[in-house]
Amino acid sequence: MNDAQPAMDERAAPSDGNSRVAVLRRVAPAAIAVVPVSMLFGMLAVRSDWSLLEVVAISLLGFSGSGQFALLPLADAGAGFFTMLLVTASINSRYLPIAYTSAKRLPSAASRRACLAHMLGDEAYATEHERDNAVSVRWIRLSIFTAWVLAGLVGALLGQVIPAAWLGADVNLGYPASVVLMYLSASQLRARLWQQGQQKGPLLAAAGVSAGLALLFILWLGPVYFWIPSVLLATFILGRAWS
Amino acid sequence: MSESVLVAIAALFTTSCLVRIAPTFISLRIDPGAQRYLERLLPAAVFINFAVYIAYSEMVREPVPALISLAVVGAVALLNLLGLIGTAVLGITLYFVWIGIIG
Repeated sequence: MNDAQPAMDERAAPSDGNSRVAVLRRVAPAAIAVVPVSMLFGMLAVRSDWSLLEVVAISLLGFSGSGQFALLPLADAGAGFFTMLLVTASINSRYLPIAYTSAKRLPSAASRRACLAHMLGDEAYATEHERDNAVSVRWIRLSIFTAWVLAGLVGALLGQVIPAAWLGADVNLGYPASVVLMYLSASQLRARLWQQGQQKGPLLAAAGVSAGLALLFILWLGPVYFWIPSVLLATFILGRAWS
Repeated sequence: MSESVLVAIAALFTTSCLVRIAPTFISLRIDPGAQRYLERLLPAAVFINFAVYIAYSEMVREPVPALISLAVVGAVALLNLLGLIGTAVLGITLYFVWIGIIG
């Protein structure tokens, strides 16, 4: 546990927005948005001769959208463990700062803390608020995680009956998830940067410069390796603009 | 289970342990200034990069529809004009309508 970030008591009284219904209502759009993406993974995995058990197992133990898709061809090609680890660790390296900064919202019991940390995803992180207690975080992460695993299974089942030609249709099934993540990211930026007493001009300029540099990092290092240097530089730039 | 799938599952689970589970057990003694960086500025930096990454990934596929749709979604969210469901419907509709227009 982070000393500077004491864990919230899991039995803490629910505050506004922390009731179970309010939390489930808040997480529902994100949980629904991941369904088509996970279903597509299940369909493609079955097409690569993965069993239903294998699809469920990788969704449960791997729980990584981009990581799972990236490993499909690597597994088909018989790549080794360290090759796969290098690829997936690179893709998911963005979770290092995300996991650290959201750790204060997790329960203090080690097993529950580890389980909820494993269920951390982009959509969950963007849905959570700083004021969320451990119970709220549990419902948010569990909802999205469950939706992901079940949708993968449904996709695998559908993949066994849907003709292969249908899967080749050029429909971007992942777009709803991108829209939801964009909305949540922008909402989080508004909540975190536009505070009372802060001058919006310099922060907006810093955010714009950071976004431009992020694009340059993507073009330079690629969409897998840009995360860590780009996030660190953006943090530095925002810090300079923070009054 | 086939061996290659087992290796893939092991690689992803190890990754999860390294990048998601381990950081939540790390103890750091930090001063208030550094804490501000970790709790407010670092997450904001992550979300800026999220937004750029999403826009880039979608624009590689469908440049104009994705640019228009995601710009509208981002603006609506920043200005707090609509809720998530309404904005998602708007953004998805714009995207597929523009794909239909461009062909």
